[in-house]
Amino acid sequence: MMQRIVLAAGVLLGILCLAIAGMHAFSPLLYSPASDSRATDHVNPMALKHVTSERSARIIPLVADIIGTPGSLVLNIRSKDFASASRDLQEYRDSLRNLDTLVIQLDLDESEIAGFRRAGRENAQILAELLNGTERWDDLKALEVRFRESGDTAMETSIRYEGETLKRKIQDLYREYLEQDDIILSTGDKFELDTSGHRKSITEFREIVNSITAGEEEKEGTLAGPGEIPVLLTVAPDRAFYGDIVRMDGQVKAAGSNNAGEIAIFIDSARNITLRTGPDGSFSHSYRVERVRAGTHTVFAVYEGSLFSPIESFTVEAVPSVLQLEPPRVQNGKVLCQGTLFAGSQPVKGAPVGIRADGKQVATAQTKDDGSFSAEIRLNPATYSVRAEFQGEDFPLLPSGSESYEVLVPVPPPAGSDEKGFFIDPLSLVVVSGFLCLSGAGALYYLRRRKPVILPARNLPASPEITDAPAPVPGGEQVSPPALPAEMQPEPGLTLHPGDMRDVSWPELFRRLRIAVSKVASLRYPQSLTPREVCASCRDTRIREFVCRFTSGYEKVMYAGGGLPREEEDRMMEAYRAVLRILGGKDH
Amino acid sequence: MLGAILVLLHLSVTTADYSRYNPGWNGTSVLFDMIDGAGGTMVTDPSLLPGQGNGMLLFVAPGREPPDQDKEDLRDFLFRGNCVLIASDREEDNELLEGIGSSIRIRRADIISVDRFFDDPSSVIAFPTGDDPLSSGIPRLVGNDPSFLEGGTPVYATSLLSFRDTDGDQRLGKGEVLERFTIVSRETLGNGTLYVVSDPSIFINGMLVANPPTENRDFVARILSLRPVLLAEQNYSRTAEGGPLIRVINLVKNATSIEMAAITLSMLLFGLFLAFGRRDA
Repeated sequence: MMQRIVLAAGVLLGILCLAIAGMHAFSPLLYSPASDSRATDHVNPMALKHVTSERSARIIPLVADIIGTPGSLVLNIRSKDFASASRDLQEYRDSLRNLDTLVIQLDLDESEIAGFRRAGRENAQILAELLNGTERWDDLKALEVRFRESGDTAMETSIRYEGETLKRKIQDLYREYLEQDDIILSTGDKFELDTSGHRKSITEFREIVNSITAGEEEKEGTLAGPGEIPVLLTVAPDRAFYGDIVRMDGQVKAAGSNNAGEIAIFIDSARNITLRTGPDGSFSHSYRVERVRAGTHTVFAVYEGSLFSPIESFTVEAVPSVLQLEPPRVQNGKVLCQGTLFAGSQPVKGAPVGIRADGKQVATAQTKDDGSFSAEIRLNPATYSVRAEFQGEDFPLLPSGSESYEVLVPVPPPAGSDEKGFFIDPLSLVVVSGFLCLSGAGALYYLRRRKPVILPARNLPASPEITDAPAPVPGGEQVSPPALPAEMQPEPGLTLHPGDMRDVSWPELFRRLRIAVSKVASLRYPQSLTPREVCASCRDTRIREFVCRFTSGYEKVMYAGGGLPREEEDRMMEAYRAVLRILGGKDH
Repeated sequence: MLGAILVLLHLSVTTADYSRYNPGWNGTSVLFDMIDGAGGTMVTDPSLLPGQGNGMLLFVAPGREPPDQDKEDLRDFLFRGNCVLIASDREEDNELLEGIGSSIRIRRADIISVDRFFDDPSSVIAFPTGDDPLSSGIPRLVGNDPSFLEGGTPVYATSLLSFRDTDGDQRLGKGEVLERFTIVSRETLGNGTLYVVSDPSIFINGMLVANPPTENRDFVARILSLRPVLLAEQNYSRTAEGGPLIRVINLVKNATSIEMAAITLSMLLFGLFLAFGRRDA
């Protein structure tokens, strides 16, 4: 009774185990940390990979550098140490570049850090212009003195006009620098960093502006005054946006009846255009606001290189830009990105648009006249988040970004899978042909080796000395095997007559022996048996010893190569005969 | 017999989160081994808490809310100069904190930081924010999907490059602000000290043994050695969860006298089984 209960419990447990195993049959992995990676409150650390930790330790020092470096930079500019200032500027740019990389790596491009980064980039541009402007200012001062001493009033006036333009530009730069003040200081305070470097840079910047303004105020009266203006110039409107036209009209009022001549219009001290005035000295120019920075821009005109207009100005205001990216298409392993950039209803032309894949800039496209852009990018097979970005640098436009799209770049098919290429490639044909020839040669060689060996006729001993044969049979007696199944009937000529053994090959003898043995061991397919299998099939029979002796010798003849000694051959023949005798005895 | 032993072993464990009987990654069996090693005592009745002021009561992952009387007992224990550490990431446990007179509050949020130990947003590193016996010499603590704390004196907090993932996209987006979050906070109540840890997951086995930041284990060891008397709450804590059968089996496993009796009884039963089996044969 107890045994039955134990047996039943065992069977039940077995069924239970099979059922549990069956439930997992289609997912043979019973457990892995990844398959058990999350619970309500926590994540399995065993399923996670360790990454570089404490990455904030790399960002905070960079932010500190960006806040602190302008202090010494502006101080060096003020003290005319332009070499040191250039080094500081390079360090500042390097820090910004490193911060850019980290912000992208850490996916912080929508944080205050990203705003701080933009402000830093703006400041880098301002400080670079301040450095160049201050250097140029010093050059202009030296040139002015030289031309004054040489009495070249035209050049002296030209230099003073450029100086005036430069002064206004540096004042603009200072105003723009102050605009970044809030975000720089608030970020510094938030990260509990020392902001004295930035504060100091503001103070020094102001001092530079003051020194330039103070030096020029006393000379302002010497510029063209209202009463003695040889060239009149009006600029309208005084505020413009991207795509607007700014009209610059004027008239030469020089003495003389014909005032026709060349007049050059300078914007921000750079020659913008040279025109021919009308006979009455009038001129007109339409300036389109496109690739120009937001801010105040100075304009003056110079007639025949000697007569100057007063300095006028206009202000360009920055407006938002709209960047649109169409869903990227993947073609032949390349990603095609197309889109448009507009400022209101105005297409933005000639603007650089950056294409980013997973935050990393992979291409830059240039907008055409209609504001459209297109870029074809080769990316490795993977899934990417692709978006376009316009930074707005050198344009009176605010930065903008497009929507992000998930793009799958598939793995390209293997090169060898193209069947046409296989047949066209002659090398492939040669290699395949070579393999075919080698295979054919191998097959031929095998067939030749497989031909049965015809042994020379031999004289068999008249009466074999078989001592352990249990049932001696008179020599020369015909063996009458029991009837075989139809499919196993020996072919004509296979009857086992010991006297027929002359001139019979070893394979033929083995074949006959195999058929004879098959009747004893009841083997269904005797022709498929190897010598060893024939020997093994006779286990527990009286003929085993003789059969195995024969097959052993037969293996040596057929597989070891070469012939056997005469004595060995005789022993094989004796064994063969002994088998026949036994099988023909009273038991069979 | 072998089967019976295996069945008993199987029944003596559970997969419940935070359970001390769970030897898997989300259990706290390692923590309780450490508590046993430190000579800790399990407490199921707060009214029996000792009176002297040299004890540390560890209350990891509160489950059921204790009744007012038990909160009062906990408060008395704390005010007598003892130390209590409560580890929870659930806002429901603010009632417990309020009940024992604390001003610290747990705020549930998905905190993500750029400072992480594992490649997963749930892995948040917290840094010491001042001098405290719990944090000295332990430069960081790795959280596993922590909440954050308001009030008290911060002991461990995330770096400033951390934010609340309000939209669930696991990245810093518009409206998500970088800020520092307190993970461990301290408050002095009466003569005692209350520590609140906003992430009970730092005590699970996975955070103590498998590819772990070694500081977490140091932190736990520091807690266990902070006071001479170590106690672990086992009435309301989810670490005690496991069902009645598991409790019985573990009671037998853990109590030496009962264990000896159980072994003797098993041997007797086995002997009887053999004797009767032979007679039947």
